[in-house]
Amino acid sequence: MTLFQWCFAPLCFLLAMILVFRTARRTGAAWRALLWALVWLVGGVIILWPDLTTLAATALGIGRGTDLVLYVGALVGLYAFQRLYGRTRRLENTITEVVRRQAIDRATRGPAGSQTPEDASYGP
Amino acid sequence: MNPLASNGAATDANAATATAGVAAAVSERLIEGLWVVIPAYNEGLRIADVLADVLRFCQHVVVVDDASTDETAQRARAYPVWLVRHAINLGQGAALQTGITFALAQGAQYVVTFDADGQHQAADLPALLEPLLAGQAHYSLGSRFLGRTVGMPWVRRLLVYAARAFTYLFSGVRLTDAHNGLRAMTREGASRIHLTCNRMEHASEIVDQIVRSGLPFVEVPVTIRYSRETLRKGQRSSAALAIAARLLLERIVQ
Repeated sequence: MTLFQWCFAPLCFLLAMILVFRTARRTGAAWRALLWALVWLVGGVIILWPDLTTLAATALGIGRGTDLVLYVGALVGLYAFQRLYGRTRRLENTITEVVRRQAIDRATRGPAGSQTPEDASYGP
Repeated sequence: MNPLASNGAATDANAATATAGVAAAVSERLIEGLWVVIPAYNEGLRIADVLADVLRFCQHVVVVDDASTDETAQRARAYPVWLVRHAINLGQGAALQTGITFALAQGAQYVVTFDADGQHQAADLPALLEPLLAGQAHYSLGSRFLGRTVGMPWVRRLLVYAARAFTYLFSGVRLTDAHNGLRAMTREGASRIHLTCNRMEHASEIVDQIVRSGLPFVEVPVTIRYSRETLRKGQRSSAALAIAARLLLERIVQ
């Protein structure tokens, strides 16, 4: 085994185990934690047996295992970016609405008749 | 008298009378239910002149101070206008929407958006409002290219042309001036607008929403005056790329 495999494979398996144990104590969204546990588990397996990615890539018609990892990483990254951006925009909209509501509630009007142009007439 | 109602079922003979009525309402300079929304950020040096100009034509004005750090709010308070202040700086788009929301809540029948930097002329308001009062449109958009520009740098002209092409590409609408802040809308038109882009991208968003509303809109010649101070304070030409990038991102990701 290489130094990289010694360092990062156990880390991935540890993260997977932590998520599984945390899931046992939570009442909701267990599937999300288990999914992430699976991701870390797969990550650890790939680190220990990198040739598996080549097998998978060949089965999918992609040339190299690293290309497969790159494509999957790019797609997952794009999806994560879209989710994060959408969340950031919704947060921005919420802040804007709060500031707007507060500003409107505190609106004030200047004194009538102060510094008005000479030819102004304001009607009834 | 509601000019729109009088134009509803006009015969040829009545049409001439109705048109004269619209012209009379416009020439009165004070139109019932007209609100002017002025978003402002650090326009302490210019806001007084702008308010003096606008108040000649309209009695209902709301200045939306977007958390200015100068004396914009203090100067505005000296005039008989509503002042709405954002606690934090959100951007011109947000300030515009705040003003539109406020005006509608106050019962506005017509809403005009007007810049606080002195580029717009209140003398353009009657011509801007005429299509609305005549029932020809719900949105009246000012166009400097149908009208006149004073002191416009060629770089800025090129950028506005680019914005025009961008608007045609993404909104599918041909406008001679896609990013002009001088606009008038009826109450129904204003209620169909809800800007979520807080910064300068709102200019494209508002065109999008106008088109999607399905309500008729027209372009009207207006005059835009540039000065050294407004050019220095305004958007850098290089910022146009960042605005375009953010617009693209909005369209792709949202």
